[in-house]
Amino acid sequence: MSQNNGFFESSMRRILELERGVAGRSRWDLDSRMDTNLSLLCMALSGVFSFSMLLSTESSIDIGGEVSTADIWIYSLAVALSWLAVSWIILISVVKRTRMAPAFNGRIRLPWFGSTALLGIVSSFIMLFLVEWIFDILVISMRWDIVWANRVSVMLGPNLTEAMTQDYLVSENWRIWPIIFLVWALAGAAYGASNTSVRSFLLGFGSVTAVVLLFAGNPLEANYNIDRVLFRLVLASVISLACFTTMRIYSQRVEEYRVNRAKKNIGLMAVSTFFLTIILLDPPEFIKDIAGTLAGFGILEAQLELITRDGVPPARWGGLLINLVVAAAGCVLGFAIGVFLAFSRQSDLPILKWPGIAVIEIVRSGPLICWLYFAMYLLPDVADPLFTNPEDFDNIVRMMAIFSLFGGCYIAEVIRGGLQAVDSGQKEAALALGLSPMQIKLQVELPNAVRTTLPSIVSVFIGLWKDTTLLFIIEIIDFFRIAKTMANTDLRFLGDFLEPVYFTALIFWVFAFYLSRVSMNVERGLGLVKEGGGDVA
Amino acid sequence: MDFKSLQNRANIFSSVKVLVAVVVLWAYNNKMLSPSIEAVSSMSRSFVVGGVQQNPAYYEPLSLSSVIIFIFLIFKLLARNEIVPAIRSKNFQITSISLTLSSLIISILVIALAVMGDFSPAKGMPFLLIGTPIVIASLLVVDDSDILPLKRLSRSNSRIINTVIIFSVFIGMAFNISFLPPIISSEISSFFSIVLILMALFVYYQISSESGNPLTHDRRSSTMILIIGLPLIIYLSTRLLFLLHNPDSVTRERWDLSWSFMDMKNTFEINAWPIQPDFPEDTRWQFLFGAILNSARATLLSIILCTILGVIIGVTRLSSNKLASGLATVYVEVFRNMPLAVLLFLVMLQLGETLPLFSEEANIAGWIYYSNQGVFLPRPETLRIIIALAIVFSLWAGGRYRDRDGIDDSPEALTRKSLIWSMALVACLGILLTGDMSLPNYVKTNPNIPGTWTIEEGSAFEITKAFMALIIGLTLFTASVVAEIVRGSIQALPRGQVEAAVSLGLSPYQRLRLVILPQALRSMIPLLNSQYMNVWKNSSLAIIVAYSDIFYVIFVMMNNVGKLIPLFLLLLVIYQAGSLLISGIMNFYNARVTRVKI
Repeated sequence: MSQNNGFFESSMRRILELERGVAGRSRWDLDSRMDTNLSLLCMALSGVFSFSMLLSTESSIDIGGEVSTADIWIYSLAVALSWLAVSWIILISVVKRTRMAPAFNGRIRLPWFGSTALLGIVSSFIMLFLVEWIFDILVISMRWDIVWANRVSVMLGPNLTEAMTQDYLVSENWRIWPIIFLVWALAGAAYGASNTSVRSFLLGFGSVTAVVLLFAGNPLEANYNIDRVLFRLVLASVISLACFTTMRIYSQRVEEYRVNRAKKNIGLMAVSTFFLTIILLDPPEFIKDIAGTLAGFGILEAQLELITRDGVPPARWGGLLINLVVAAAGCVLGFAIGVFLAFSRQSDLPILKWPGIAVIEIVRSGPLICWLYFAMYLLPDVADPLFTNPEDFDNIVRMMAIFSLFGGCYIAEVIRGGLQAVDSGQKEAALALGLSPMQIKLQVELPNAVRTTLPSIVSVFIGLWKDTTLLFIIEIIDFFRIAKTMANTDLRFLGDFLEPVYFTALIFWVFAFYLSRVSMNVERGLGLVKEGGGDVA
Repeated sequence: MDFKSLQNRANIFSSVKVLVAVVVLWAYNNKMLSPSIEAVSSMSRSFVVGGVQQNPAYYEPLSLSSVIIFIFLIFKLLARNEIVPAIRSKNFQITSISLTLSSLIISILVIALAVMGDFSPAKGMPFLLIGTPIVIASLLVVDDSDILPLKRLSRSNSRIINTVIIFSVFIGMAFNISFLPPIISSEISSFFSIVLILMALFVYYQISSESGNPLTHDRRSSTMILIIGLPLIIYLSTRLLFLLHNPDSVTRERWDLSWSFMDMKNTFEINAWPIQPDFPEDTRWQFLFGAILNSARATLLSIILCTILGVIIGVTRLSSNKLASGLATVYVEVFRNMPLAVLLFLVMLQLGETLPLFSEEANIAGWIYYSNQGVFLPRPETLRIIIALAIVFSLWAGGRYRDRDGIDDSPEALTRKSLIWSMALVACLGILLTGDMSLPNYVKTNPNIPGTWTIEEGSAFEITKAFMALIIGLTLFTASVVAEIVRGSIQALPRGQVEAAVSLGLSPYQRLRLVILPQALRSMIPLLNSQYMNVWKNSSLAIIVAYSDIFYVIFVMMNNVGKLIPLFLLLLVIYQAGSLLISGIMNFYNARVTRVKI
């Protein structure tokens, strides 16, 4: 009985705290008995009210059998729960907060429950509206079959999907899997080397794996072999977990400088993954030759034989693959260009300084969309003689080039800010140690500058990732373009044009949000968090 | 491992690095130089039939040689500028700019030779024009070397001797190009690549031997960069020259640097306000101007709305009410990480889905018609709008004048102010709504078919769906960033300010209005400045919602006329001018706000 009582008291305390959080201070702050009783009364009343709302919402939905009963109940439950919150906040505001307050310059006194409670009531109504809207989208008014049916197309583009589903074409989708394995393994290793707690990693990793498995494993409208895909995804997760464990044990055993070296290697491998992706998707001739020679010696013959085959040229890529590859090019090559431009703009030598300023300012003067047009229609004129086969310089490669240049110019400005902030004592110390100018720049100034500007650099990366959606304007079949035209490709889904766009928004949002969280963690880890400071980018 | 073996390893490593660098340079030089040689030879080939030049890419030798060499001389001046220090120094000597003079003389001689000497377009001309930059660069190399200048001579004398030797060898080769061994005469690009690599190796050796003072070191680094950048400079300049006279007719249209086509009549219609260009009559310039106004009004409205919304949300995020601050956080996180292109498209689709269909003829008392095509509002007379604005402005100015020595926020003053303002607003509303107001004039063409109705042209004020979608999308997106700026600036304030305000007995609203926001404004303005410029640049995404902004109009013109380069340059100039204007205004405001130091 006593334990029960203690539980009751502690939960009551929590509820009262919540009330204070959403509606301000109560009139009966000191009289806890009265306070508790009134709280219980409000809860009971709002519970009854929301139950009636549940029943009325459930009976009011009538879309002629298109929506399943379970969906209607989910929707009604969500709406009723937000009605519970609304009525509860109104009740506690009116019952427990109202007092006679002076109004009209204190001439008369009117009942008033305070501005905090008013804010709470307004926000609760906004929340009710949002919940109704979101659940309406999710379960009532929209049909998500179109997204399920186009899962592969949206990820890899129509060309690769066609090759996968049609018998007369050879599916080249195996080229994607080594990259996925590598990326997952690297992600696991990176988290293993970082100071993320095991629990939070497992929580995040578990939820991501669950979402991915659910997304790939839903048999609804699937046009691929689900079992095989699921098996590979599970294998990738297991590899990732193994990498995490190994790296965590390693970094706890050895000294810190070796952990740092391991982190650096993981970073280098992540960068080379980008190049590996491109090589694996479309192997250059010499790679094919090497693979052919090695296969002649009888090592891993079957695997090497696959590599000697013609790859998938960039013109046949599509979907999320393009967005990822172009954004990665913008980040990896753009970072290199950015470092070069930042140093050249900071340099004392006019031959580096003025061209640097010119490039940065000209590129930054126009919006990205102008430069995409430039890359699409004018860059081939300028650069075609450099390519023996002009088709090598196709749309995607040009987009990668222009994204790296554009991102590089913004990163250059960010890094330049960091370079200006490097303590001159650092440079003098390096000079006194006898380092060469190049060593001072690359091994003393650059790490210092990158360390302080990392959050801003990541926000440029996030911007580049979001800007890859602009590729659709210039006829490149990226994720967004596929999503836009999805409803026109299948008669069954005619008119379902909103669902794919919502799905696009969600996918891009998830990646950007994840990156911003990573940046925040890194910032905290480096001890760079200042209260406030605002948004830099 | 002892020190010696480490050193050996380092030596091996550095020689491998040099080897790799040589291979890369070889490939790069050849890649850049061989198309340039082709371009020069095709630009210098004269092919006259019946007094008409048949080669459209042909340039007069004078203009071709002077442009290429002039572009290179600019880079030479960047690499080694002797003129500025010579002018600055008190005792000016001609010897201090002898290198510049000698390169100028070489250039003039080469241009004269190119005009008068009858060089063959296949080999002689490319060798002469692409060799000259290399000769000038080699002068820089030799000038800073420790070995080559004869020790007994003075610096200026050795310069003259070097120049004469190098230049005469070069000219001798250029004149006798066809008698030289085929390794040079038929593989000009390989020969130049080898020369450039040798020069680069020599300068690298000089730099790594660390035999000079810091000034010499800097000069050598500049020379090194010039040598590495030289093929790129030559490639770009010859390629651009080639494109400007391109024989291919489509490419020539693209690269035709003249804006005369903008004076012709436009071939498509746009929806613009306040200046509507007349479709078949007006020129492209007038259409472009209409589009600029379109972009400007969208940007201005978005800036105002996103500032208001952003401040509200940023302040709400810091509210003590957990539900409100949670909702504000959700707002910021949702919209900050959303691609603007997707957001705009989504807003447009959702507007089309949410607003009633056109055929439903949804209206409010015949005053406001709204459908998924747009909204029609009643439009008051222009004179009355001006009068109402004048009343509001004079009230505002009067209030500012009254409050010039500090804001009077006693209860009486607040009552008086709110009374005056509400009366004025009622009066303004009265002025606007009376008189000859133009209501949407409903016209139904065929009463039997739903949807066959229009609002008579010129009768109401129409807000198109595209404009609404653009404004909503831009505002929602930018407000999330502004909210973060506001929050950051407020959090950066010293805690004592708020505590002092509390202890003075200010109400929460007064705290915000009088203490927190004015101080937070100081750190906010530079960040808001860049966001406003972003709004201006992001307004180019209006093409997604089919709103006729600058980019859309220029894009359609590009498709119609095919003059890509002039239109592209116009685009860059307009966007840069807008950004400069915004940042100028914001810097002026910033200077005003930060005039008082705290």
